[in-house]
Amino acid sequence: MFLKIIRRSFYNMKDSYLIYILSCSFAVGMFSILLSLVDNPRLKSGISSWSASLNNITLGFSVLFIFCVFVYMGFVGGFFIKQQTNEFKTFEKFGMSRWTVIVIGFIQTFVVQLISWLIGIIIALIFQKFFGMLLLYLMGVKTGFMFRFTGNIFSMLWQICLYSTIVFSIMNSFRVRRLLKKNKDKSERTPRWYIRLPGGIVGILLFISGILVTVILFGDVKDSNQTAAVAELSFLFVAYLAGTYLMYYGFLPSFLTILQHTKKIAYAGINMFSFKYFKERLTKNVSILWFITELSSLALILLSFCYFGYKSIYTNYAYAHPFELTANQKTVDPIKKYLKENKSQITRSYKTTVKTTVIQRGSNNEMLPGTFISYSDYQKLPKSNIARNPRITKKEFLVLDFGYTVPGYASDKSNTAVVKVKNAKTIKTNKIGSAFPYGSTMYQGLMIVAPDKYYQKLKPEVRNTFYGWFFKDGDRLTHKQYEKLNKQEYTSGVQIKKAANLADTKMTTDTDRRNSSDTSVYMDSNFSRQKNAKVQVNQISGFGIFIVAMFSVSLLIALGSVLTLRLLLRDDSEWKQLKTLNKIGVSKSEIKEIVKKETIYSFVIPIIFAVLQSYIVIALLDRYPKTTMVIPFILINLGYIALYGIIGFVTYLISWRSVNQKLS
Amino acid sequence: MQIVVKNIAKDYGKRFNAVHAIKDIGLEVKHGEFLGIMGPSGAGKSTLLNIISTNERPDHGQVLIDGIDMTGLHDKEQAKYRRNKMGFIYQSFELLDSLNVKENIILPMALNHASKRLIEQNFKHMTKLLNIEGLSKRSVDDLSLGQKQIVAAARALINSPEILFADEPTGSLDSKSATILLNYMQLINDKEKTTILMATHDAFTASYCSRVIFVKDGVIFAEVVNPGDRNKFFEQIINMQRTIGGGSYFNVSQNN
Repeated sequence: MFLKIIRRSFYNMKDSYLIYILSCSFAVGMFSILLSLVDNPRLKSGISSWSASLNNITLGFSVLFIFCVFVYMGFVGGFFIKQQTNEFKTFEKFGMSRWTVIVIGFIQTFVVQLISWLIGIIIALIFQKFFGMLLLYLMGVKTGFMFRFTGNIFSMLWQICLYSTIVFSIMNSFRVRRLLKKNKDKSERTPRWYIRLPGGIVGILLFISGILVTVILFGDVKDSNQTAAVAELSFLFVAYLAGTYLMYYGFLPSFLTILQHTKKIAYAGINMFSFKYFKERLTKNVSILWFITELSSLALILLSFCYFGYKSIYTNYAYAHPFELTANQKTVDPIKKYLKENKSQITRSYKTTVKTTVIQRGSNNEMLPGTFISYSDYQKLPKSNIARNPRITKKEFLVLDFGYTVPGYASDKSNTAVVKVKNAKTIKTNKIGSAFPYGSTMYQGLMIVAPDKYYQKLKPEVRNTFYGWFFKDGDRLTHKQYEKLNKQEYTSGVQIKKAANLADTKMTTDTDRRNSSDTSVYMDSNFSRQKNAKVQVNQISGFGIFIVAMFSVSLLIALGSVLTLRLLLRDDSEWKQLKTLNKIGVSKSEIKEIVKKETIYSFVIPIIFAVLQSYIVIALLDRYPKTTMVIPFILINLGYIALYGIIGFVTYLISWRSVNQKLS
Repeated sequence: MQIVVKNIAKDYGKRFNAVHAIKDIGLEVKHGEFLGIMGPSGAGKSTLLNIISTNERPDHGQVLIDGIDMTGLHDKEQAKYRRNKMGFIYQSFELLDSLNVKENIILPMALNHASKRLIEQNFKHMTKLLNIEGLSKRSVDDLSLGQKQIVAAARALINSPEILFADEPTGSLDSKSATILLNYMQLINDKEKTTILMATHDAFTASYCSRVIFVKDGVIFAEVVNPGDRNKFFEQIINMQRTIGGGSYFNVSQNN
């Protein structure tokens, strides 16, 4: 008998159960694949340089992923129990003991969870190789992926499956127990307008003030006004979270109530019913809509940050390795020898002499090495290496500083670099760049492009020459040669012996790598090879894209399925109302319109609020020069909305199918 | 509105589990007629009513209303016809929980995009007539069963339908409320010439009709025409129910 009841409940909610099981299976499958990648030997060998970090990162993401999956399972699993409230209460009225009803709830959840895990693990077994190959492809690793699912992984998955299934089944048993105990009447459940209306007004005020504060935040972040920015961010956090909730709780239902009382609108066709129907559905789903809005907003912010992270890595890489191979005067001879031995085909080669002396940067008077290059030599460098810097005339200075932030210049509103140079004139310029023509790793401190006259007069404490090459088919350096170039004998750097003033401060060359931990020692790279960095950048970017795509798709499926399930799981009274409408002469196409509008509102309103909230990310990231986040942000949003829209459309089709079946 | 039902049949279920709810029924209802449909539970009364009112499609046969073949119409056209020409009173009321009493009553007019003034005017008239003026702001959940049925009747009648379908309209009402409702139905039948089709178990309710057909096992078994005297008609209905075996209720009265 119990099995018959359980089977019947599965049959009655087959569409909803199918969506839930598929979503859970997908998530379990992704988790199992991530977990199985942690100790895959092919992955380790393919990226030997950072394989230990990759293992830890993958494991970390697996844990984060399964945590999110558990939140989803715990939250959504309760929908099915709630849907059966009337059924469970009837069983109890007919004399079934409360304990038996609870056991029915337990078994239902247990079966569904177990099926989800089994399908998920099968998905992982089938698709592990595909996802592994995809990961290696994205990372640019050219080894083949080997299918590997160890006994350890199986045992771990089985244990997680068993324990989580038992926990969720017990959780739902408690839900059944609570439902059987609860006996609230309708008026108790729906707060009155005099609570909703003020709540809604506060909500909309908070949300609008959030948008205004975001605009103020733009200015404060740009001016590096950290105290104000932190206060604004704290306010935004509260304003958006509370404001969005209160808008769903109070503003939107009040708005629908106003429409419903506006006779001109309400007395026209189906509006009289649909406004009230939407309001009832909205009131029941406030927490879910709020949850989806905030998670979507978080997803958009995270995606924007991920894009920015990728962009930063790529920009750093481009700044660090403008030539395919770079050498200084210490490494030029062995490198030339290796290139000759390897018959490397050099397409272009460059050579520039530089002078290094002590300088004092900006308002904080920090003493650093300053490497000078003459305007004429600078102009002879490849255009691609200097294109990111501002253009200068032969009489102007150009200061190249590290990173995006320029400490010491911030106090100067006009963004003018003030650099004091030992035994030379102080430089004042508003031409500040960060693209070091031989790569940022080749020298420490600042680089300054100076007019030829200034350069010739400058008395340096250290001289150096940089060499850069481009090749046809790569530099062909072997691993052994590469290792040799890293040896101590090629190490070079400078040490600053600080004095009370700049004139007395001295700079000496330092060739002992052991001194590099000393803050007064500035060690240069012996050479810079684009290929090595490129491989690592590709691997990190590929891994990032893989993880972000996996999380984004899973998050979208999870959020979409939550909304889909809420729309599908109409209670008896809601079904009855749609049927009655049809009986008294409302056509199916008009009811379809109600279903369509309900789906549109349920999907569109959260995404609008989410996009408005996530706009904050532009304020946070737009402080960096030449990094405009507006277009990527729009593209990320459009991509997210497109995928979200597809889920919405599918939801509409499923929702209408179930309504149509009930009406027929 | 003349209704002609031609050889309709309707089965529920599939193959071996199929139940023949209606087996080849033919019927003619004249314009302005008040027709009662009686019969034991499961005889097919509600199915017949649902088919004539286009809420269900027959497996075979035709339903012609004023010469229009309703079975050949598209769902959308059927719905439009129901909305414009028909009113419904169900035993289970079929009121919309989301709407209050007033909104439930005026819904058919709102669906027809009637003017605000006309809606208010008809609403006032209807609530006064059925003596439910005090209920207009109440929620449907707060009404008694009798009140719910009166509200359902008001909704069915506010649009002045040309055909009124009533499925056990007095099933949930006490005798006083039932009499008020039946008197009103008779009134609109007489004055407006509204065609009324009413399925009922109750001989007293059926005695308000001008003609009663008896359905048994999916076919029309007999019919009784009102001779003009309601008491006599009531007797005839009771006798017919005894003949077809109307259930334990009649057997008990016979024993007494």
